[in-house]
Amino acid sequence: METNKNDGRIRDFFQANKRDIPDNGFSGQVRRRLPTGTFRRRVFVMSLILIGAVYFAIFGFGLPHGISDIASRVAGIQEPPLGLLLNSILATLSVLAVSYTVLEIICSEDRTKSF
Amino acid sequence: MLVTRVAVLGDKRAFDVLVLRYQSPLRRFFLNLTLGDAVLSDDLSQDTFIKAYTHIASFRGSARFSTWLLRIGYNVYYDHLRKEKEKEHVPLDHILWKSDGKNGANTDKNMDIYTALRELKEEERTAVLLYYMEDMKQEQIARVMDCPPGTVKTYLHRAKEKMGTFLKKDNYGNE
Repeated sequence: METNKNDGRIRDFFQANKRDIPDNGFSGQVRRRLPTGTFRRRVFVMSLILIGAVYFAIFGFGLPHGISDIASRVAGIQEPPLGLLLNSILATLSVLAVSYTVLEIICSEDRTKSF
Repeated sequence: MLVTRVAVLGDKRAFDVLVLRYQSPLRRFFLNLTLGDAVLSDDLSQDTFIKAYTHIASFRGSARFSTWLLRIGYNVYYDHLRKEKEKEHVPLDHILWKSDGKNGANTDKNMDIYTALRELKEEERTAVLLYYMEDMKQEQIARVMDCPPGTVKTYLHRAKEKMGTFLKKDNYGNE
C-alpha cells in the first residue's frame, strides 16, 4: 500500500540522517554549570534522619514501652543518657528533616511531574 | 541506580554518566529541531541537563529516563521560542540558521533533512523526529509533548503527508 511505502521511505530517510554526536567536552561544560552544595545538604539531611531514627529505635518517643524496653536492653543502655530535652530536640530535628525532604520533592515537580 | 544516587545524594559523578549516555540523542534532537543551529542546540541541551539535575527528585521512574529528559528538553525549547518571539522583529528563520558548521550541522549533506523539516510546523517536527529518528512509540511521544496520543497521531499524519510530498519531489527512495 502507498501509505506503508511512504512510511518506509520516511523512516529510511530519517535513519539515514541519524548521526551520533561526539561529546567533545560537552559533558564537561554541563558539569561546570551544575549547582554546588546539593550533595552536602542532602548528606546533612539524611544524617539527621538517620540519627533521629536510631535514637528513637533505642529510646523510643511515643513508641510502646515494650519495644523501647527491648531496644534499650539490646543496646545495653538503661536509660536515655542525654535526657528528655535532647530527646525532644532530636525528635524536632528529625521531623523537620523529613518534612524538608518531602517538601523539596513536592516543590520540584512543576512541569516534570507525572513521571 | 544512577538516578537514585543523583536524587538522594546529589552525586555529580553519577550524573556525569547520565550526561555521557544521553548527550548524543538529546543534542541530535535539538540540532534537528533547530534546523541545524549547533550553538543553540548545545545551549538548549545544557539547560536541559541542568534542569534535570535540579529536578531529579521529581523523576518517579514510571517512564524511561530518556522520555523524562526529552520532556524537559521540549519545555526548554518552547520557553526559548516564546522568549525569541517576544523580541520584536526577529524572524525565527533568521535565528534558526545561525551555525558555525560544527558537529555536522548545516553542511551540504545535512541540508536535505533540514530543508525537509522546515516544511513542518514545530509540533509536527517534534513528533516526526521522536517517532522516525529516535524510534519512540506514540505513547512516549505523548508524554514528552504532554498531549493525548491521538494528537500525536494527528501530528504524525500531517507530517507524513508533507514529508511524503517532499521526498517524492526529491525522488528519494526511488533508486
